[in-house]
Amino acid sequence: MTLEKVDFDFPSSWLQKCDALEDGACFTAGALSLDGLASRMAEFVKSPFVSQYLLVALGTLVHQQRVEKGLSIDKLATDAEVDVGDLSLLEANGKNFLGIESRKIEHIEFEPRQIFNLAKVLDLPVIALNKLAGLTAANDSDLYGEAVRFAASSKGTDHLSSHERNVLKDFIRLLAKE
Amino acid sequence: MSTRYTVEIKDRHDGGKAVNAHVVRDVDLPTIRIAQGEWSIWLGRAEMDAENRHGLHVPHDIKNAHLHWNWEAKAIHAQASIGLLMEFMGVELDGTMQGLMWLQKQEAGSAMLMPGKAQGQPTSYIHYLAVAHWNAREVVVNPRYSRVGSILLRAAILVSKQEGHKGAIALHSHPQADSWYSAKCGMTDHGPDPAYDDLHYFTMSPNQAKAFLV
Repeated sequence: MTLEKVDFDFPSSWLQKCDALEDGACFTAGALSLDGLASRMAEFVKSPFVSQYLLVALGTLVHQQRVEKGLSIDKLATDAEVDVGDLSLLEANGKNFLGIESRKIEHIEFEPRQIFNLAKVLDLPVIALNKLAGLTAANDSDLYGEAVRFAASSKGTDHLSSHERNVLKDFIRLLAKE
Repeated sequence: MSTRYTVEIKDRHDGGKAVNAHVVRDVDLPTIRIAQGEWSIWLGRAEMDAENRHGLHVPHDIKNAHLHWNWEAKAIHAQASIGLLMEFMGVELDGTMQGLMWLQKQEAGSAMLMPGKAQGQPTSYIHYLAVAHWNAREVVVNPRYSRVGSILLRAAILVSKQEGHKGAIALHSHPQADSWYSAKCGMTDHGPDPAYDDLHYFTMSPNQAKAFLV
């Protein structure tokens, strides 16, 4: 899809045309009740689309926390008994937030034991990690929204900026409440 | 971060004098919270004012509907969903929101967030659009600021173009607004949508958008 360069403008000639259009007009659009929106949100957070975002957030989280703890990817793979190739793919997903739109996200399936080990080695809350990995249902739009924001804030480098470090801490604090 | 664009709206209570307002993109949650408070307080005061000089006529169902139209909750829903694909926009004058809109910049995976007939359509979708109570024909006999609704609709079309939808937009209209969207804005009325409170579903094609923007 080619994005069009658009001037965000409101010319006087067009505004004058509106004066005639608006005579006696009402403008309200959208349902008054939020029930429909809430149920669509509930369906949405269970969708494969959301799983991709959660997996990307997991990749970002594992990568950043590994860097924070000064672990090499080989060391983490060994300690957590996870295939180093899977771990590399997971972290690569985390560095590729925008790849979601171009379908470049690798789907990786982890066993519960591996997620438990990763949580233990990286000092992360296991319940939330299971949700991010898709091992347990994440019927929680707050977690999803925070995960998206967290993943989007990462620059994907091997050196965390102070901003990234703060976002990481906040995200882990939120995960601990899950 | 919010971006602002200057635009002229008209004050009907001051002989149609033009005043400089701003279209605000990416309106944040605190601003929405303040706007909702201002709108609700205004409506409550106006109702109590028996000698309302603006000729307030608040039918009970309309008043209740507006009071329950919880913009803050809408914003929280929007933030909790794919924030990058959603946008709150407003028209602001002297720090007060004169109208608000929640737009979804439709992307494939987020299609299911759109209601009824809109689901999965390649368009930008206006989840909600409303002008402040003092500007709303269904609330006051003499609405104050004009152009706010038109400006928000134009903004939605411009975002649609930026997002690659060539100006195509869609929305579900309230019955009082049906004629504006069809007769005045040139949108196509697809009739009542049983999956969305029987509100009429309207679409604007790229060609219709082009005509509206001229």
